Amino acid sequence: MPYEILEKKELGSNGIIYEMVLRTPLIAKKAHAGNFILIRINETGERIPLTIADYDREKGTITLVIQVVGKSTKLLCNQSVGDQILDVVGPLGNEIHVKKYDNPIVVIGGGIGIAPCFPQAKELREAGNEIISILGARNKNLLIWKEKMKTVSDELIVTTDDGSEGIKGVVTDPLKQIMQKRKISLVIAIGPLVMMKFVALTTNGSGDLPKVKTFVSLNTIMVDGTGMCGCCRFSTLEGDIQFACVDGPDVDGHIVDFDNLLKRADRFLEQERVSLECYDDECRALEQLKKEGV
Amino acid sequence: MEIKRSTVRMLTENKDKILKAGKFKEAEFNKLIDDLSVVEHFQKRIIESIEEYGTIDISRLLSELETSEKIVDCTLEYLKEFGYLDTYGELPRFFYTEIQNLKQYSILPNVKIIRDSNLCCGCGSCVSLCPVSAITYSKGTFEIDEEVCIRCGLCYTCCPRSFFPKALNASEDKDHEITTFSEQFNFYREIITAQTTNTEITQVAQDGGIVTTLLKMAFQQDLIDGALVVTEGLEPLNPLPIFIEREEELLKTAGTKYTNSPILKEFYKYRECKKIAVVGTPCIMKALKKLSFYPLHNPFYNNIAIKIGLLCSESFDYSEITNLLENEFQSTPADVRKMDINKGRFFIYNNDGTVLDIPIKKIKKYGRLGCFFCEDLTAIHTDISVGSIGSGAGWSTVFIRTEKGAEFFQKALDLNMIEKKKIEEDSKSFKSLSRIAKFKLKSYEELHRVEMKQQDPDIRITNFEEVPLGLNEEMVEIETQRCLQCGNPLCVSGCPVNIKIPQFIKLLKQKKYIEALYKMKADNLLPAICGRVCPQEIQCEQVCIMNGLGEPIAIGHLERFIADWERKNKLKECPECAAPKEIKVAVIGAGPAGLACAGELAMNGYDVTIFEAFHAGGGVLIYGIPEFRLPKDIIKSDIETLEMLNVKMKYNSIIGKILTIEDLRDMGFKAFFIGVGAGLPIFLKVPGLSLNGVLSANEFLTRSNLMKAFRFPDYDTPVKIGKIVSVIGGGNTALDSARTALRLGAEKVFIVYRRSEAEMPARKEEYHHALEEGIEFQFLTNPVRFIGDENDKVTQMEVIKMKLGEPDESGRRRPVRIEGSEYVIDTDTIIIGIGTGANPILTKSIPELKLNKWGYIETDENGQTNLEGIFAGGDIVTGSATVITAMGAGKEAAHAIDKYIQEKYLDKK
Repeated sequence: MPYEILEKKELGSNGIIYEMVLRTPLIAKKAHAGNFILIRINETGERIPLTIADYDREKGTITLVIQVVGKSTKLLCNQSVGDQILDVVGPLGNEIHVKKYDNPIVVIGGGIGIAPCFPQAKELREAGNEIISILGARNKNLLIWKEKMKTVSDELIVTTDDGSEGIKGVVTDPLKQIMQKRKISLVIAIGPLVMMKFVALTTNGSGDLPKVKTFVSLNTIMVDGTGMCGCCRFSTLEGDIQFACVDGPDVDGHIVDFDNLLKRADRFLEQERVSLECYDDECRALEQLKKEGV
Repeated sequence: MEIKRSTVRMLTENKDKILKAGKFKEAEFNKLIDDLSVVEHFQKRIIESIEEYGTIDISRLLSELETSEKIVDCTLEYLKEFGYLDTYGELPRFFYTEIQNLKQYSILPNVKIIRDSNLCCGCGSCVSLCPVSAITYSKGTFEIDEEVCIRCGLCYTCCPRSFFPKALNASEDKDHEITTFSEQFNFYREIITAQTTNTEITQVAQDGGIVTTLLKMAFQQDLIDGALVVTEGLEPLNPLPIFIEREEELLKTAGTKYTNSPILKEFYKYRECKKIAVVGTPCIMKALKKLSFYPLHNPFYNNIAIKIGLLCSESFDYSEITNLLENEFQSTPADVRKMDINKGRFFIYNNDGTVLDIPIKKIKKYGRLGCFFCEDLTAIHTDISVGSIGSGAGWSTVFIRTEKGAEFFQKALDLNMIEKKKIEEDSKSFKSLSRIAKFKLKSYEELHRVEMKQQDPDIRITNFEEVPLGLNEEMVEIETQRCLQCGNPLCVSGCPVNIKIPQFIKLLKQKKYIEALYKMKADNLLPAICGRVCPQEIQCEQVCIMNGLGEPIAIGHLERFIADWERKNKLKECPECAAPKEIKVAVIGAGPAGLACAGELAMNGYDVTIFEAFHAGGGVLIYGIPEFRLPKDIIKSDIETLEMLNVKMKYNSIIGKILTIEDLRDMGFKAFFIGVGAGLPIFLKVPGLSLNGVLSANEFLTRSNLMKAFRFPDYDTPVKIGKIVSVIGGGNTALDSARTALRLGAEKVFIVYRRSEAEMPARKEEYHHALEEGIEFQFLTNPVRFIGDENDKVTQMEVIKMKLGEPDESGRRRPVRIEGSEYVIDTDTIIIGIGTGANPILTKSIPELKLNKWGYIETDENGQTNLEGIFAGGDIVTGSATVITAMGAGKEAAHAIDKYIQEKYLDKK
């Protein structure tokens, strides 16, 4: 049952983003674009959700892209090929609805949100859709999977905050231009909450631009991932409650109350800091012991 | 509430049958119905009053019902006994109706249970009272013809050994000024020593011959026209009750008989007499007392002129007295002229003139079992009581208890038929009377159930250690001795998995712990869990016959003891499994239902695999119930037991996601049990739900329990707790959340519940624990909205006061808002524990599976769903219920699966 890490490589060059391939034959068999897994690295670990970025049914593997943000992601990225993850649960969440649309689909990935865009673009393109991909990153070093995305896109646009690659600016800039020029059937946006919020604001028909159906992928804090606890819940603009884990993770971007969700995402900041500090201390101590040859 | 179990109804429906039986004349019958109707109306009013005000308010009841405290007390006791009120004197919880029904049909109708529990004292009052003559006296006890019995409950109500309201112990003496009370002798006017002056009586009677002399005087003075006494029967030492109407017959009744005698069994025949003297043991007097309280004295018992009690520490069945004589004296009843107890020894006076004696201790084992449960030595419910102990040879000790008793005695004195002396209170004899009386009372009181030691509240709120600390062997020894080993044990039918409780307790009593463990595990593989979290107070213990005598056997504690003993001794005992059948069965969900089902199937030789969504087994036991209520090691250990039975555990396996039922079929599984629980939190529909600091009890408890957030940062999962925590809901989940919050460092924790204390579905024990720990309760209060600051962090909660309206479909009264009563409470963490619904993650993957409108799976009583080979049980079928109910369902389904497979696959082979 243990889930072995078969491959691991760093993406970009900041030492904070990694791609990992896990052996999970049963999950790989059932995985689809939109699904996520929950992992618990070791006995004391927490359960963290990670979107399935790719899968290989034959090899029985799934691919994850992880950015170090807190203790658990750091611990995960510190694992090596051959190491085993204690628990992997999935595939969870709803898979995306794949069909042929009349007009092109814009797939927008921001930061490591680009990775989960890949299976969506792939499956939708295989269904005969035209895919226009917009990849956004803070800078060139944090831009991932550009080449891989090219293989599933008819058109690919890159934006960076500092202009170190592609267009200087944010992903909504090229999105607006595309929407002004062409009729779009669907927008898919995966990335930081702020990015998804502005994509949704761009496509909700409130401005000059036409309204376009928009899916965003919510990577909220979760515990069980099966709808049992409501930790991942988000409020709709109408004040209803939905669960990212079972109603999503891909949901209609126009109904999400992003402002509330942004605040909810920060609710364990203090504990996350403590946890990371403890881990760093532990790592340093181990390092020290190694140096001393113990 | 409706009085469903109505004696009046049963009697009225069977009027023809009753009149035909011939005991009651029509007018008498009508009078009884009239009187009972008043009583039942009264009972109804008391329940209504409790329903309205939530608790028993005696003073309000007294003024509303214009009655005496004694009547209210007695009625309350009656209502408790008949299951309308729980043992706390409160309305039973709504979901206990099943148990109520059980009680209704098995405990109330007749006194069979008393006999089967060895409690019968053989007084015969039920035989006399039964309106259809279904009860007949037989060999020291009675038989009931169940075909004839009309289930009116009269016999149970009148039985001195069923229940006995304390209020009936009060003195009946009109003149309270001259009444003395002592613990061991209850109320009396005077204790004296006396003897007859009649030499004829001295020769035949016991000791002072007082009883015979008093009766002789009463006949002569026309104070009585009949006396109900005992005389020698056809066999020596096997006396018969006799009703005499003439003074001349008296002499043949004198002398103590050590064998019990059902003197009340034909009382209905004496209605023509107007002034009857009844002479009898304390239990007979107790029966008369009970008859006098409830309108059962009509029409037969109105004619008692005087009650003369005989001091008695125990009596013997005729068969036992024969054994006693044979074993201890190598004698037979025919050889014995007279028996006596004196100075701690038991004497027999043989016809050949020899006198033999043995210590009293030696005769105890021949005594009636029921006598062990009698608290009364000196017959406290009489006008006058007489016995040998306490006085010198040839004298009797006399307790004059009432005005009537005094009058009779004085008359005999005036006529010089009796002479009296002051009792020597310093004498050895009197002291021993006092001591034995006290001992009997105390040993009865010591029948109190064992109390489990607990962690001190002040200490336990700082840790997650278990609160109750378990029993030790000594406590188990005492507790198991209280068990009556009923022939028809109600506890077994009260247990959802029908554990053979009396046999289990018997083995414990004999210190055969391994055997006890096997006995337990034959029906319940998970005693460590059930011993802790089963609501025994509404299951096995609620129906325990010992309730009538005080407190039920602590079955749950004993169950926990044996499981702890097993773990302490590092044993893992499992019952023998049947030979492997090589048939694969899948159990989905490792909660209580799934574990029980898997265990049962494994024992039947099936190849069982449990698929569990989480990384650990136990379901709600592991994510929901906190460490301080159920240490997680225990669950681990119980699951290891299952693994020893070759049950395979597949964690991280969400069926419906990673594998579907169809996949499992392809993998060769032949049958399926779905026990996925009710894991979908219900959130209140109020504004502010997505504020930070508002969370479901499921989330809070899963973080703390399953993910061990209480050990953060050693464990990575965090849990955030504020200073003032409010928990919404009144069930075990809400209480668990509140107590966990306290242990995580909250300064103040309060529970907001929209109904009153009485409707709280939480276990009483846990409620009391919470109170001890300082959790505050705001009843009849409901949140209106949650208020947050600019960072969407909750800071306050607006609530509204509620009142109770009409009952809803659950039988509980619906809470209704009191408009305008809103107010605001400061709080920085709100935990919502108002219940759970059906989680659709599995059911959605089987679209053909029939669900009800709430999303729960529909099954027949065996757990069979509408799909072949697919069974279900536990919360996913019933909605949120108890651990043991789920286990019961799992076990039932296992039997159904076995039957299904036997028929479909094994017969074919």
